Amino acid sequence: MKERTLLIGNGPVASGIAKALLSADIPVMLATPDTAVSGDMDIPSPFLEVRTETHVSRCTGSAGNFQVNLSQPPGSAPLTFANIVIAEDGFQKPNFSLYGLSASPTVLTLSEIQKAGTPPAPGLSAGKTAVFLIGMAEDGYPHDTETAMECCLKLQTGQGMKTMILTRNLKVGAMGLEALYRRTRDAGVVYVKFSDALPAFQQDEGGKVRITFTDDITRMPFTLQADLTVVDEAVVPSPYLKDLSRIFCLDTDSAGYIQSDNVHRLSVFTNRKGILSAGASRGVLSPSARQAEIRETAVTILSLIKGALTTPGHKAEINAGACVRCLTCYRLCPYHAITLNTRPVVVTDACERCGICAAECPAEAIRIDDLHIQAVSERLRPIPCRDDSASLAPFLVAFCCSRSAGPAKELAALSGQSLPERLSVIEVPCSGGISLEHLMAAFQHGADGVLVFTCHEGNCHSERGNILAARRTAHLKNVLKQIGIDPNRILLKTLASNMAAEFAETAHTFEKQIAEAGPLGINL
Amino acid sequence: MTTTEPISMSDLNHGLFKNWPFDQDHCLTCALCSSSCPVSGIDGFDPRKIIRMVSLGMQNELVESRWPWICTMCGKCEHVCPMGIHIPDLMRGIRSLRDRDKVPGILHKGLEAALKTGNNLGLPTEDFVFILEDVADEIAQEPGFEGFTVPIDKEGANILTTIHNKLVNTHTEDLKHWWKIFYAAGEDWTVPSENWEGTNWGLFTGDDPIMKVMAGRIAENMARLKAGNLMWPE
Repeated sequence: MKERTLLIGNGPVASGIAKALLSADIPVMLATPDTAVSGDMDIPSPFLEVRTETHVSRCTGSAGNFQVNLSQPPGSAPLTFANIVIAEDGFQKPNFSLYGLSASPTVLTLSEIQKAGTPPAPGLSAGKTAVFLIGMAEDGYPHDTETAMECCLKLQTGQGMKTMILTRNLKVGAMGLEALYRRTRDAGVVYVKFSDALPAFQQDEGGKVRITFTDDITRMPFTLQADLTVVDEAVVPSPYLKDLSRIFCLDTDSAGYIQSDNVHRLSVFTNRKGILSAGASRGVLSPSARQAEIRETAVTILSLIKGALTTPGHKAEINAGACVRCLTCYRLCPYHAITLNTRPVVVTDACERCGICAAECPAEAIRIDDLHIQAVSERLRPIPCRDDSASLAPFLVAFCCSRSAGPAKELAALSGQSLPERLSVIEVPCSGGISLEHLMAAFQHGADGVLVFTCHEGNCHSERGNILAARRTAHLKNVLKQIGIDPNRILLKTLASNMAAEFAETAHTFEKQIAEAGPLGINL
Repeated sequence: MTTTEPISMSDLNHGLFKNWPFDQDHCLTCALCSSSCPVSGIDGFDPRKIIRMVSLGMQNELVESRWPWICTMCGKCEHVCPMGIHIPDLMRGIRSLRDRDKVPGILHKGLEAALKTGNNLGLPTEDFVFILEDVADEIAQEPGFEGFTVPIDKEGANILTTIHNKLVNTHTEDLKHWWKIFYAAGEDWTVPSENWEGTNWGLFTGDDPIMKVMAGRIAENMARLKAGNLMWPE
């Protein structure tokens, strides 16, 4: 069972992923805190094991060999899983209070009306008016609009009711939504959009709601009597997601979904190899996007099992004799690739070679062989001046992240852009691995100026590698100043991989500036 | 258009104009029409408002409003509309809803005159013929056009041309250019003495039956004078 996947969740995305994995003969254990699994989870397969009322309580190990403790049965030994998928269903909080309305048989939430039969409430016959409030008080989502449109179509064509959607922005920017909008308009659904003042609501004891407003387009005052009022719901991460992010050491976005706002995590990756976040676990997802999400997850799990996603190259190693167990590496590793035994240990398969641990280790106890200061120094031989040069061009060293400035430099060279005559480029897997020692070594080996190129903020594969590099650069500037060297001899710049022209321009401007400042004159 | 009393949206029949083939219900309220319209802002007019009112079924307000009559039907709005709404046709649809005697002054008068006399000016045939012959005389004075005459009601000509009423009213000079071209080209042409009006204000008043009458008269002229081709400038 070494390929077994632990699937945490319940609902359409979880069941879709279970089916996709089982059809590829990958064993699945589904664990959910819910008391029952949704109907579509009824999959006849000897490779599926379902555990309800089950929480994850602890997880150790790494991709290919996770050891997970489950709350059921109590006290049981940890189970082994190759990979883990978190695919919790959405969690919704009704917006009644934001509109000053209270729940009643004719004042319902969007998910209630979606599940309700026809008529959705007693006394709602043909000719009655149903009003949907979507994204009025808080920003709405395309999937709310989609659900409301589908409900309106059902009520309008099936029940002969008059339906209206009151909304702030009509968000039709999702698959098929504009076509659905057209169908609702053809069916007679009326839309009222608001940009400035919102409507006033008055709910009577019978549950009818009187709505008064000024129409944004005609600027005319209107009133509206709603026999059925449907309010949208704020979509929030489920409380269980918070536990999961803590147990698995996963980065979350500002709302609390498991997946940080980082382009490298798209579509279903987390900061940890072998742990995926899909569907409503990683953000607000429209029902029409589910299939893509399920496919993407299944394909990624297959790639993980085949070893297609392993990072080649030297990995971090901790010198046990030098380690003082300060746990700086454990705290800073963005991939949770350092675990604690009696002392910190690198999980080699999980290490992505960012070098943050090595650069930050106060005891200098960690090294990644090919990124070690000696190995880098080998690559720092000054470039001789061309014979025809009238004056000596400054020697520049540029540290480049291999995900951004590295390709930008390649692109600049390929597209024939000129680069400074004596520019030595040191490519590193992540700018987070450029230590103070690396920067000093560049000066020691004769650099007149040092460039540090990092990814843009929020765009670092190692989440904070660029921020750490910026912090070290600022610190070194301060040190240079104190020892009487112009701090402008070191420059930090953020780049994206397609910014070839900016790379060349930055390098040339810097070359000019350093040429004016003159040679530094250190060569040890 | 200003309204102080709130309008009950529940009481409006939103499906009232559903059968119109102008796709007004597909409006996304993007306002490209409003920003492209050369008369947006005049008396608060804006094409999007009209589309909205039609979509909501506000028949009474539309019929009473001056807004649909401010539109010049230039068609820029339709050109830019991402949803392909036929806005000038929609304007005609609304204009057609007004009682004919409440059609704004000049359009109403012009159409009445056209129906009664065959042209928007109510110009009698003798006066029309006098003006044409006078212009022809002036052309004949010019070197190279000696003996020029205007062939009125000539049977069997290759081209029959209609006349825009302003060309026999304030812009007679403009007749000369194309008449000279006819002369130089040796064209066999004619102009009818009755029902010569080239404009058709049924277009602007949303009046399809009147458009049909006006067009029918031109067809009658073609048959009566056995003309080969029609030139209909306007």
